[in-house]
Amino acid sequence: MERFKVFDVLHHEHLSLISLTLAEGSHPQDLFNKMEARDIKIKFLASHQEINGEAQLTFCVERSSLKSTRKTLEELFLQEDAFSAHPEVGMVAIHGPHFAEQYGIVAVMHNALSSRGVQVLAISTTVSTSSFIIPSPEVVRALDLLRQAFEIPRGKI
Amino acid sequence: MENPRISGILQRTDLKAFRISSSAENTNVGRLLKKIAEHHINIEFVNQIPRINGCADLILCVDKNDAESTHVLLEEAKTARSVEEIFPPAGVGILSLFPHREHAVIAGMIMQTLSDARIPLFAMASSLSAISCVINEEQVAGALSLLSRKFCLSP
Repeated sequence: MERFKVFDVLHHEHLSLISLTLAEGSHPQDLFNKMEARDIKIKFLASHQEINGEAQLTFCVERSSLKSTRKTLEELFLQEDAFSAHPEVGMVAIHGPHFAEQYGIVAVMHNALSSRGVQVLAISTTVSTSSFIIPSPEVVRALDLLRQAFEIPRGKI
Repeated sequence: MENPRISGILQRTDLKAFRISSSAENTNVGRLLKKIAEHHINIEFVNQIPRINGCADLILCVDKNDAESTHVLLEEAKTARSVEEIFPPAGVGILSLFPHREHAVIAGMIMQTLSDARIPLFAMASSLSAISCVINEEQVAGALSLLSRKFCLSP
């Protein structure tokens, strides 16, 4: 497969991942509004709706915000066992305006990481960016693997 | 509160969304994505979230014209046990709002606006600059109109 050009590679080593299931009719906006009020930034978000109407919500915050995020979740409607947290995750993301028209980019990124034993915990894509959540200690190695897999302009990683 | 300012909303229609469960083996997802790429199919949207049982749930959106070939590949992956379950594909569209500057309130407002209008949010994903929502294709125009009014769009 050809070596794709990317515009830049972003990374973050100090994140925490929260996963929760919301019953049908829940109001996740209450959670986000409270997080906003506490100035907790969402660094990553991926959610799915289940067939039964439940929603699976996965998001990342700065590790320094984990305590206040937990507090927010507990204050709202969730007990400790209703959500799970991976306290030490990181993110690598590739960006390129041409991604929407180019097949194979996410496959190259996934295989560059997973075939070398990097555990992919979550993925989100938008128009021109693919973001992967991985264990925090793997971020530096993941950047090396992405350097080999993609053509990245100097200084953009 | 003043409506948050955004620069724009991108719309993509004529897509099919596949929701699949894959085993915990990371390489299975990688192999599946590679197989789809080998058939020159562009995945317009992919979301993966972890499940408590160790499985991964994926949502893949492809152009309608590629839906049949994608379904065949997914069924092959199921036979090869790379995929545990494939849910029936749905006709969807994607609305992407940008930028959100990592503000939780933007995600919250999108969810609230769609929920109030009883528009199911099939999937949602964020990046540094945008938040994308996958919704039923029949509701894309309505959702676009609602979100355009909810947010303050730059002239």
